Amino acid sequence: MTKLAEGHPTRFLLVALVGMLLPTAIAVRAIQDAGWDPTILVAFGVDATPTREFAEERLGDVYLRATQGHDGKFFFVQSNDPWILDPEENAQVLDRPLYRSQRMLYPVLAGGLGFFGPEAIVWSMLVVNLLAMGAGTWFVARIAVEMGGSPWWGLAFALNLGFISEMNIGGAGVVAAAAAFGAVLMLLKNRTIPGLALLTASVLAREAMLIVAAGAAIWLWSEGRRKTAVLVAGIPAVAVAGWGAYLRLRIGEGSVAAEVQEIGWPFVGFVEAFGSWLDEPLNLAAGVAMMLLFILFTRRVLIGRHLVGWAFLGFVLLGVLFTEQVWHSYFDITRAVAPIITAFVLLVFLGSEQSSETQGAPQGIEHP
Amino acid sequence: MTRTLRTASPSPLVVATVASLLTVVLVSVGLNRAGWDPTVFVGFGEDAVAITEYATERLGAIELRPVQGHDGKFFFVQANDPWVTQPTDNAAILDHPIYRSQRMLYPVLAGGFGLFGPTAVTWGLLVVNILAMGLGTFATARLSRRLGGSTWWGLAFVANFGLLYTLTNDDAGILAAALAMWAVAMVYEERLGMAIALLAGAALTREVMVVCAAGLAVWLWSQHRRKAALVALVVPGVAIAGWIVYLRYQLGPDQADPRAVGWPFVGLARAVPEWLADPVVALAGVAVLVILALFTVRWAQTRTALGWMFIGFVPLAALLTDKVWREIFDYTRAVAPLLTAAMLLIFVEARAKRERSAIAGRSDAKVSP
Repeated sequence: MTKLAEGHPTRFLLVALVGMLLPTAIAVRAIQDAGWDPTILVAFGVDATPTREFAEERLGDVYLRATQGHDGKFFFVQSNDPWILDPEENAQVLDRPLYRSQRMLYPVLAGGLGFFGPEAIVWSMLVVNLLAMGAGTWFVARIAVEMGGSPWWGLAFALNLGFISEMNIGGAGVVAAAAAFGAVLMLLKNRTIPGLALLTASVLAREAMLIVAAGAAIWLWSEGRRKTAVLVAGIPAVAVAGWGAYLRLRIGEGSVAAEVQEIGWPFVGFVEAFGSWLDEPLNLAAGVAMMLLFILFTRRVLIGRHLVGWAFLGFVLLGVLFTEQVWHSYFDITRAVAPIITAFVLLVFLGSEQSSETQGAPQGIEHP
Repeated sequence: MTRTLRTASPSPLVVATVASLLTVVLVSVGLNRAGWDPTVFVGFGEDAVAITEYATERLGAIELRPVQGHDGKFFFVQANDPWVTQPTDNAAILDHPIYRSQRMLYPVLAGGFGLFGPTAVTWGLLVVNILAMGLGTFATARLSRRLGGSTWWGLAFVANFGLLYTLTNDDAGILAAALAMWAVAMVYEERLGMAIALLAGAALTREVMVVCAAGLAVWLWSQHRRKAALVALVVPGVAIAGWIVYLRYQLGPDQADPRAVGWPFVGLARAVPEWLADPVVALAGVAVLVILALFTVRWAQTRTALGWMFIGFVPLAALLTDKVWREIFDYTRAVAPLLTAAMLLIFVEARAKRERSAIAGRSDAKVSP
């Protein structure tokens, strides 16, 4: 049999398909355990009455998780009205309507651009996430080859606990991260327009991805690609602001910042969570590992000065600002900073010998 | 033998101190939450009635874990009679007296060689594990420096997930792994007698550590040091066999051991579908399998003493039953020594070997026309 070259397109596709295997198996197993009810992956909560009633009116009985369930229940509501055409019926069910609705891309895709009914949405939420797993793996595999490694390093995306957890609760993090890694790949290859499009998609899937745009812009600026840097910083921000303005027209005035509960004073959340971790060694190991990862990642970024590092460095800052609510459980902290875990693997195993001079375009050359 | 390639990192003592401090902080937080009751780490079980009654008679109120608790409860019993001189009062309440009692070194140390009372034993179990974390980190850092890596790699001992789990349950795995890492460090420093003695200690702490002695013997044999190979195999073997003979004399005829091994890969194959029910278990399982595979590849590529001394855990992992492979807690503990050794073999030794080859290549190039 002929061995496929490291950079052969079929090889990337194979890696992406392999990357989708474990998440798919986990999803199938979860649905099987729920008596083949796919709503288990939407994560409605037994105590989350508004979203529960919203779902039961449209789907009949749904699988209910303990207490409040997880974020997927909000994305289900949003997917039923992705363009916020009927906020009185839909978005008002959300706990924080403005904050939730700013994450629009995943519900738009899962809602079939607004054409899918509730039954189809339950399945499409899963399908979109699995496809995003494949796409993210594919992008990371290509980045790995750009960095001189094997495409199999692409599995650092699909085997990331944060992304698998996100898929398991119908969250938007997989789509956001896949688009972000796609943007990084495009910027590395000097394909600015696809890069900007993917970056914009990423921030519209999860607003925290603005830090990827900021990090990438700083790196581009330092490389002398200043026009691209300004575009990378500006266009995603304008997209978020534009969607935010539309939301205020549809939902009403309010402050997203006032609705944020996950950000606080530096390290306070980490310290507060520490006391509770000994009840569950997994939380302890994950919490300590994440803080260690932040330190090592920052060091690696500053030494290597690679775009993969700079693009995701902002997650370190975000991580130290997270409240105890996020740090408390491995489940939440690994989801919150999932992109940095994949980026860290790339930098540690492939980025040590890489200098910024070998990446992207030569200094001063613009490829708009 | 390997020479030191780089020394620009702190001394192993500094790294061990950092590891010990981290361990003390973790233990202190746990103790603080339990009102400074060290029995929280022993792992007495609500449903393990005999041992719970045994402990309550000697300690008064104790912290209980759900169901059967963990292995620390057996070591508590053993540490109250580490020389098995009163088996009817102590060892008889163990689930598998001979199987449990063959792991003698940890209870001997935690029981102050038989001098400690029950309360002191609960602290002894904890203190020995904290000291073993420091010792293991020191040995790993020293070995890493010997291999040409940073001494900070010593933290691969304290950051080992399987050993952290062990710490929370007063288990013998930390001491066993520390002695094994110390033995490897001694091998690399050409102090073979000390290494063999440490391996005997490791085997008396956890019988499965004989695979390290067997691996060392094979490596020595491959180096044509055949007498040393036989000594490396025989001394730990005789130590553990001698102790078992003594146990049979004290405890009577053999009883059935709990089966932790079975047909190759059967346990793993049965456990994998169960992993899918919990993404954390699935990913941790995949991670352990990848580490085992990478370790095997690096072992085959480097064929060094480090690789040989831990490669035995790979076939052992293949033999583990689904009961072990189902839970992160169990399978990471089962292969814990290999997880630390893998960090050194994959990241330090293999690179050092490449660097040495490159240096040798450049030297050859200078003399070749």
